[in-house]
Amino acid sequence: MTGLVRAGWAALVLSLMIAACAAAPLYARLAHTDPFRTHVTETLPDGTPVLAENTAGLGLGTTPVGPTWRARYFLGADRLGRDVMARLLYGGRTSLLIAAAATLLCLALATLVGVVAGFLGGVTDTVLAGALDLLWAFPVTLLAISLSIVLIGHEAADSLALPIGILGIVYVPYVARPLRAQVMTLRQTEFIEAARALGATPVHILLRHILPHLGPSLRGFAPLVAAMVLLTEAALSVLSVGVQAPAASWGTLIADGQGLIYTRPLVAIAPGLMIMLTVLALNALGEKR
Amino acid sequence: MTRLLRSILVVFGISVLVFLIFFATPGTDPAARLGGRGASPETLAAIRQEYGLDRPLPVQYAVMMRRLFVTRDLPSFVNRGQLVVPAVLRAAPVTIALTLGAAVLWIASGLLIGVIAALRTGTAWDRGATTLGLIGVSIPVFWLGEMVNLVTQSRFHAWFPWVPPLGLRATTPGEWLRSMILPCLTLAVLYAGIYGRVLRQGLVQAYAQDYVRTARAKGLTETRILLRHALRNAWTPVLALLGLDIGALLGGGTALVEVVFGLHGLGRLTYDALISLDLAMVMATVLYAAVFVVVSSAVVDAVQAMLDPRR
Repeated sequence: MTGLVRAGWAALVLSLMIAACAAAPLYARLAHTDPFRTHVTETLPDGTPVLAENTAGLGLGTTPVGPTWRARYFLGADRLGRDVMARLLYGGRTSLLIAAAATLLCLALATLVGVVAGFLGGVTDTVLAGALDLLWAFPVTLLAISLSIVLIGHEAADSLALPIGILGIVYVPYVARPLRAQVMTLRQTEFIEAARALGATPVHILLRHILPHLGPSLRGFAPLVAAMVLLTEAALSVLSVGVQAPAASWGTLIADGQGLIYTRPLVAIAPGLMIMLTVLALNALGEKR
Repeated sequence: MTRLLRSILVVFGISVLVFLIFFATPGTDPAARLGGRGASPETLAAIRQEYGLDRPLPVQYAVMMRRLFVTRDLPSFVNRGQLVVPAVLRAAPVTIALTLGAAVLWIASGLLIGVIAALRTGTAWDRGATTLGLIGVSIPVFWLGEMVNLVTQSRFHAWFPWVPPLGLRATTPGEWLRSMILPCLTLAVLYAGIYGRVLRQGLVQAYAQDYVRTARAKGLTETRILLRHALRNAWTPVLALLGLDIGALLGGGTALVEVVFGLHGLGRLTYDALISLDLAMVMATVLYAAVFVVVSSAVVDAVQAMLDPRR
């Protein structure tokens, strides 16, 4: 597959994914279902209970209904009798929103740090570059876990703002380090020297001559950062320090499906496939051609 | 020497950062967090005493570091009577073995994929290696683990009679080894493709170099050229990547694999501590894991310097 064709496929998959998740409320409405309502005692029109009492063995617990392949409970129910298909789309909204917001935050912070460090140089650069090196040496998972566990329950921590903020910060060195190097190279080029000789102020040089040159790098980093954020968000959610209930993301859906893996494997398979497809598309977009 | 100094500086920096996150985040009371859910006033008083929370921050830092790394007697306030550092040191070998076992597997398979792809550029083999690499970095690892369990533990368990049940602590070395095979393979699948690609890239570049032409002109066999000339040069970026990936795995990357496969390693310890909000344990696992990461990256750097043919 040539790069262009691959990028086309990736863009198609991504747009479909975003469209499907954006249309989640519409789906819930048309299918008369609600991703957050639990159904413990209800039965479906054909008489099958949403949560069936187990009869085998000790007869303890319940087994949720499997996929009906109809509008309601298309992919079956989870442990609390919630509609898995509706939750898949709503969870996707959360996951994609976090990925997009955290990526923007990360690129903005990284541009700020990289440009300031690379352009000013001197002591500022030494301090900032040192901080970036330190953050780079700190394993992302551990940093995210530490920040999350301390901040969860903090009065200022809104359910989604927390994962967005944390995931936006932990990947800053990944982007800021190359940007800083690029700015340092740019600063010594002849056209910058010419601008300076013509009396351009540092702010003018920064905005008109340096920032536009960072555009292509930022566009290249965006899908890769989004891919890493999606995977890390899912991992943190499974570790119980990511998206908090009642909100759901693809990560929490996989965690929900863990206990049902042998009886209703689709509950965990579906969100995992969604993550994989999305991340695959993002990585294919970010691929150097 | 400067490398050693740098490593020490990084460990120091990370420890200060962890300390600040856990003890100086504005708007949080560290004692209440360390005590877990619904800690009694006596527990809180005991925690303030243990950690010297009424003293200035630098003293608190010194107290914490001394108790974590010198006396190693920091207690958990959630799991009464458990000392956190011995628990971490007991769990570490599992995580280290899992990481190294997986690394051996993915390097071996990456080597195979990379060499085949480089010798057959542009063929289906080459494209297959590229696709495999792309898929590998896109799979959520714990999900892949679940899928492996789904296959080997239930529907098709008859085909995998050697796979031990999940979560059991192994009693014999053989049992232990068998319990490690699937987790290592799961991790290796993620990395094999990407290593194959990096190696392929290096090999293709190496084959275009003059020294390979010279070697051919001298009449060396293709095998010898591959092993003695091309591979030695293509190896350098792979080792750099290896340092980063082993670090990421030791630093929490294996956590969910351990949880999914029921291994009692560092990651599982962290997971349990997060669930029970045992912050003392989380802090200890984070700091010790960070030390392992820095040490491993120093080791990889040393190996890289030794193997570099341009040295």
